[in-house]
Parts: sequence; C-alpha cells; structure tokens
Amino acid sequence: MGFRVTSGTFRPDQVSFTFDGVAIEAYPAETVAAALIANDVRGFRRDRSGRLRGPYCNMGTCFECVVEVRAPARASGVPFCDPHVPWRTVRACLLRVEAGLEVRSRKAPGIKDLSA
Amino acid sequence: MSARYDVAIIGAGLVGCAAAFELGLRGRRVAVLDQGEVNRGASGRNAGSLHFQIEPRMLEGGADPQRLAQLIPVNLRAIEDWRELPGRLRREIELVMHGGLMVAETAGERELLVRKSEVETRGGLPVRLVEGEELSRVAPYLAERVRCASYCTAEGHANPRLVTPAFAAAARHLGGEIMTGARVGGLEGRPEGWRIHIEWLRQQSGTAAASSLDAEAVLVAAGAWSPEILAPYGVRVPLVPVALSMNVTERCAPVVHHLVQHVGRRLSVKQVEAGNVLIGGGWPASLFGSETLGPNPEVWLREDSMIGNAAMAIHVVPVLAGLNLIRTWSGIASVSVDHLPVLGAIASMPGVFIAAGESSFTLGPTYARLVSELICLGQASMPIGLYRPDRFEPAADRSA
Ligand SMILES: Cc1cc2nc3c(=O)[nH]c(=O)nc-3n(C[C@H](O)[C@H](O)[C@H](O)COP(=O)(O)OP(=O)(O)OC[C@H]3O[C@@H](n4cnc5c(N)ncnc54)[C@H](O)[C@@H]3O)c2cc1C
Ligand code: FES
Repeated sequence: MGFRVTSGTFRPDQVSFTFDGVAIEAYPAETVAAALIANDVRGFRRDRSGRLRGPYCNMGTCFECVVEVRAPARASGVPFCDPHVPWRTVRACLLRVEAGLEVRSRKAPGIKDLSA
Repeated sequence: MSARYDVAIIGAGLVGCAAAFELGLRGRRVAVLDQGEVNRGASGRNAGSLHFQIEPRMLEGGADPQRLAQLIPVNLRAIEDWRELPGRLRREIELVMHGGLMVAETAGERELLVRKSEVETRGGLPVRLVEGEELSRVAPYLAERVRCASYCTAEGHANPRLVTPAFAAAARHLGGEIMTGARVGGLEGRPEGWRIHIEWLRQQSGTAAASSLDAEAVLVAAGAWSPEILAPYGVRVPLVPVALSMNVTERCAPVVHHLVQHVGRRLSVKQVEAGNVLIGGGWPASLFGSETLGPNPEVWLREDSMIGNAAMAIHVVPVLAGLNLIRTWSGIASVSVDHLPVLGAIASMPGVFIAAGESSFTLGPTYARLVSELICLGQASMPIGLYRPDRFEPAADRSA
C-alpha cells in the first residue's frame, strides 16, 4: 500500500496524467513513480518472461521503473518532447509529473516497440 | 629450469586465443600470456562487425583498384572461416550473416560504390548494387536520402564478448595454457628458441609464478601493443594505435536487419540478438601518454564523438531517434599506412612471428589460421607476402 503524508501538510492543486489510459491524480513535484505508487500501481512494466516489475531503488540506479512517456508539446518539465519521437523511455522515479503527460507500460518482451 | 612450450603467444585477444586453438589442433604445446585478462583489449570492445566489403577508409584518397583488390582474397577466406566457426568451436558466439549494406547518399558516393563493387565482383566477392524500389524493399528502415547501397550477402556480426572467450575455452580444452596478469618484459634468443621473460602484474595464487618460459617459436598477437614489444630488438612494426569509441542503445523490437555502413561517413549500425543497436564506425576517443601504451593506457571518451556518431546513425536510420543510448565505451585498435594486415615472420628474429592490425575481428580467425600454418608448415595456404611486417623497410635492410 502506498500512502501520502496528509496531516499538517499544505499541497497545491492536483494535476492529472494518464497511465495506460487511466487517469491518475498527482501533486505537482511528485515523481511519476511516487504518484503511481500512491495510486496503488505496482506493476510498471513487464519483463522478457512476462513478469511484472516495478520500482526498486527509487533513485535512478536500477532501471526497474522504466516506462514510456509522451508529453504535450508545451510541457515545461519534460525536456524531450519531440514530435518525431513520441514515446520516450524514462525512469519513472526521476521524472516529475506534468498535467497531460501520457505514461504507458511496456509489455513482454519488455523492449521498445518503435512501430507503435 | 623454465617450462618449455612449442609456441608462446603474446596477447590473449581474438588473434592470440584463435592462434592457440589452431596450434592446439595441430598438436602444439602452447602458452598464451596476457598482461591483463582474456579479451580485455580491442577484441572485447569492438563493434563486432563482420565486414567483407572493401572498407570506406581504404577508399580515401581515390580508389586505386589494384590496391583495393589486395584485401579480397583474405576476406573471401574469412567468410569461409566464420561460416565454419560455430561448428568448430561448438560454443554460442551469436553469429549472424544476414548481409551488409554499405550506403551512399550523393552521386559521388554512388560512383565510389560502383567502382568498388566492380573490383569486388572481379575478385569474386558476392557484392551487388541495390537502389530505388529494391532498396526500400530490402531495407525499409533506411532514410529516403539513402539512394543506393552495395549489398554483400555474407556480411553480418558476432558477439565480441563471446567470440574470444569461446576460442580461449576451445584452446584450453586442447591443452593450451592461458596466463593472465603476465606481462612479457623481454625476449631472449637462445640456441633452441626463445626465453620469454615475464613480469607478473598480479599476485599469483599457489606456488610462485616462474619468471620466464622457453618456447621454440613466439607469436606476437598483441594488437596495438605489438610495436612496443618488438621495438627493443630494432624491429619496426608498421602499426599505429588508434583509440575508437562505441555506443549502444536500449533494446527494441527487431528493426535493423543488416550490418549498415556508410561509404562516405563514419558509421556502422547493427542490431544484436538481445535487441540493442550498436552504433560505431570509427569515431575517435582520446589516447594520452607517451610513445608506449603500457599495461594501462589512458583513454578518454569524447562527447563530440558520442553525439556525432548518434546523429549520423539517425541520419541514415531515422527510427533510431526513438531510442536512448545506454552506454558508450572505447578501445584501442591499430592501423597500418596501407590498411593491410601485419602478418608473417620477423626476418631478423628467426622463430618470431606476428599477426596484428586493421580489422582483426573480421579477419582475426583467418590471421590465426594462416600464421599457424606458417609456424607449423613453414608456409601459409594462401599468399600472404603482401602483408609481410617488413614491407616498408628498404630492400637492402630486408636481405641483411
Ligand atoms: C571501438 C573499436 C571497434 C572496432 N570494430 C571492429 C569491427 O567492427 N570489426 C573488425 O573487424 N574490427 C574492429 N575493430 C578492430 C578489432 O577490434 C581489433 O583489430 C582486434 O580486436 C584486435 O585483436 P588482437 O587480438 O590483435 O588485439 P587485442 O584484442 O587488443 O589484444 C591484445 C592483447 O595483448 C595484450 N598485451 C599487450 N602487450 C602485452 C605484453 N607486453 N605482455 C602480455 N600481453 C600484452 C593486451 O593486454 C591485450 O589483451 C574495432 C576496434 C575498436 C577499438
Ligand atoms: S526505481 Fe531504480 S531507477 Fe527508478
């Protein structure tokens, strides 16, 4: 179970992004990984054998949290939005949420499909 | 007393380990010495391309057909050698020979391909020009600006991290000994052969390691280090070290089905078994130090090479823009002025042989076979006179 500290905190308004098409609410400055965990998403991707994988180190080292993202053109915090390269591979634990961000998980065999 | 071997091999890269295998098959007692580890030199760091077409760097400064033709026979032999390798080694080396494309964008580059493929066809190399409709069918992943390619159906790649260890294991199986952390410090001529002096760079377990061994013949297979091994004996090996870099992307579904090279730019692209795309083609790294490389040469990666190489790959295979690079590394290759291998006997040191230089991933197994024949039979099974190590010396010196 993921949970957020709620007592005694002040938070700005939530923003919304999607994970495999499902809307996820998050607070600005949260990472995609943190927001997904807070929403009880544990499987971020599938590996070669089809098993679910998710964040392990939460600090950019293990690459277990890899997802693919597509950003609206004006998203400020996403340096790589390029109309020719819609889906970028990122570590969810290093990317901050952004309103309108689309995140998708990798299916087995866990590698990028350049045609999709 | 020093232990005695038939052949001592200096260098446990592809060439040294493959020669140990070939000599072992011929019943020779072999010792391989390496200052580092097996496959830690260029052999474990290269692009793994098996390119049998005449290399773009040989075309620089105008293509002289006669000069270009000089490498075709050894490349033809290498094609056969690679085809036989999985059966001979009986180990996984991820060998793929699906064909390779050398691409051209401009009219001038196309012209170069035409002349090159004429020479190759005359020499018996299976190469043909592919363009237009056919090119988009054969290689739909190429950018539209690529107008033409020479297609060699035998080209491909193998995994450099598997090939040399496979040779080493096969050589050991035949009784060959491979000693690592063993730097060759000197060669001493003796009536019955050579005494090889060893500096141990690592603590050896068990009994104290011997400081020398004796061998009837010595093979210098030390890649870019070969010149500094023979320099103390007045032998000039016509090779210069060049530090090169390589890049690899994350894995993706199969998209690039060939070895892709560019006739006018530095580029090689291939997708390996696991799905990663390897990007190289001769982009430099920086090599620091004095005139000798020593056991720990200092090489720095260059950001401009990494960016330039990746941009060139995307220029030719646009879909690669959607991938992340995950690693960049470097290695030290060695090139000769005439781009031919350095292969043969050292005339001034009877019983000492050398096999090194140029594209010795592609050609390494063949160098090893040829030099083993030379050592055991006194003659190689194909003419290798053009590759003799003293080809740049004045004729007077040669006869002396
Ligand atoms: C980045 C890069 C990409 C390349 N790509 C390709 C390619 O795609 N296709 C291709 O055909 N070729 C390629 N090459 C070239 C190819 O890798 C080399 O030609 C080949 O690996 C050389 O093999 P080798 O066994 O002669 O030398 P190495 O593998 O360099 O081995 C030499 C060994 O000698 C040892 N040694 C040196 N001095 C001593 C000493 N005094 N005592 C004991 N041991 C010593 C070293 O430790 C080393 O292990 C590439 C090279 C580089 C660097
Ligand atoms: S969880 Fe380890 S890199 Fe993101």
